[in-house]
Amino acid sequence: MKDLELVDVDTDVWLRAPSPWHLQPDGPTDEEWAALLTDAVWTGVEPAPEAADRERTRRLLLAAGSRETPDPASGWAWKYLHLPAPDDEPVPALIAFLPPDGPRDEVLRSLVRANDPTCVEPPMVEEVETPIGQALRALAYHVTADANGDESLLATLSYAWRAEDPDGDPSASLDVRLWTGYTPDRVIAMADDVERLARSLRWVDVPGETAG
Amino acid sequence: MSETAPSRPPTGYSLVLPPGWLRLPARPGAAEPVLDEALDEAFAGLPRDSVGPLRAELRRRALALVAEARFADAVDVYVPLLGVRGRPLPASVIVAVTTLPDALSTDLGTDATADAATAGLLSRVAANGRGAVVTLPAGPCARVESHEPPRDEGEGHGTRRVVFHLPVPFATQRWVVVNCTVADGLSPMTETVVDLLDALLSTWRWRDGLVL
Repeated sequence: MKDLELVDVDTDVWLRAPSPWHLQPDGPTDEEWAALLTDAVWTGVEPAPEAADRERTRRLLLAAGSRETPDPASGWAWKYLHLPAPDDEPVPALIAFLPPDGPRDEVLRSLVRANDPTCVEPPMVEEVETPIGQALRALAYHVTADANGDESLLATLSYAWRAEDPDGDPSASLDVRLWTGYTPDRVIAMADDVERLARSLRWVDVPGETAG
Repeated sequence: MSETAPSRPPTGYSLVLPPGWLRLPARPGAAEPVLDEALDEAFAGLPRDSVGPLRAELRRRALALVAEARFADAVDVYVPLLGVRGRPLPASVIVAVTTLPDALSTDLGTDATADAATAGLLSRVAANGRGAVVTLPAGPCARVESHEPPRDEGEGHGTRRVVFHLPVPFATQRWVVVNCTVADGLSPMTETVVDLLDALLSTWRWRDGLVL
């Protein structure tokens, strides 16, 4: 029996954040996780950071890595934070697994926002080859307003797969969505890292389980 | 500022900018205070010794671009100020207004003939530059994309230029020319930034309240 995992993720740029679906009673709280990761990302950095730098990192990690953001009801299962340098802003990339429901192309186009009327123009959708098969990839731009009504142009980079079970069990197939959204400048700058994260998704053997 | 009434020429426009982008008015003396305020805010709290050279370089480049744009009758210049880790996207947008020669607009007697003549002119402009007539939410425009070789060794692979020619509604002789440039040869980043500029132009709206 196989399961989907992210394999050989580049830990120089990605940090795994707590998942809302893998709560461990004795595991770290979000606050404890943010404090631990703050220590980890600043270890060995010269010159040593000021206390204010460390506090900023801890605060940003806590905000971006919280299990409650975005609302777990939206269906995300895994979250990775893009943090190529300790004084960067961490930007989340989210991964959701969904039971296949409808024709492949139609569902995947919906998952990458290909027909989303809130986009300022129809996003360019591409087919890309990955280790678990063809994915749809799209970079979409949309306008959002803050509490003051000031509008900004933001970007969302999405990948979507219909991941067929390599052992041929149709009931084990999954639709997968991976996405990140932030300022266009940052999303464009991190696009190569997101591509590598998408390509690290693999079917792996589940220990102690056999096919059939 | 309000959306303009649909039967008279607009006196201005708006664009929804990505966070971190800045609008610099091109009229003499107008860009400096806007730029200085944005740089002050961006570098607030950071030691002047370490960020001083970067700040000075960003200011020099932005003001050089504004000075160059002024010679092309620009009204506004848009720049990504800081980008990611102090490296702005290699892109700029210059908005200029031009008045057509009488010879090009002598037959624009009625609304119907004016619309037809404008459509014809758009087609000619697009064809001359091997571009296309595209329809933005703000109306039709001629979109012309070209490559310019580097002017000197320091300019890398040259420049990708995308020019949007927008006829001002109900002002038959006035056109807005939006001149977007991106550093070329950075595939796939060049194409991705061109896509961002297309998305940016999709947010163009004719307005009252700003002087074209």
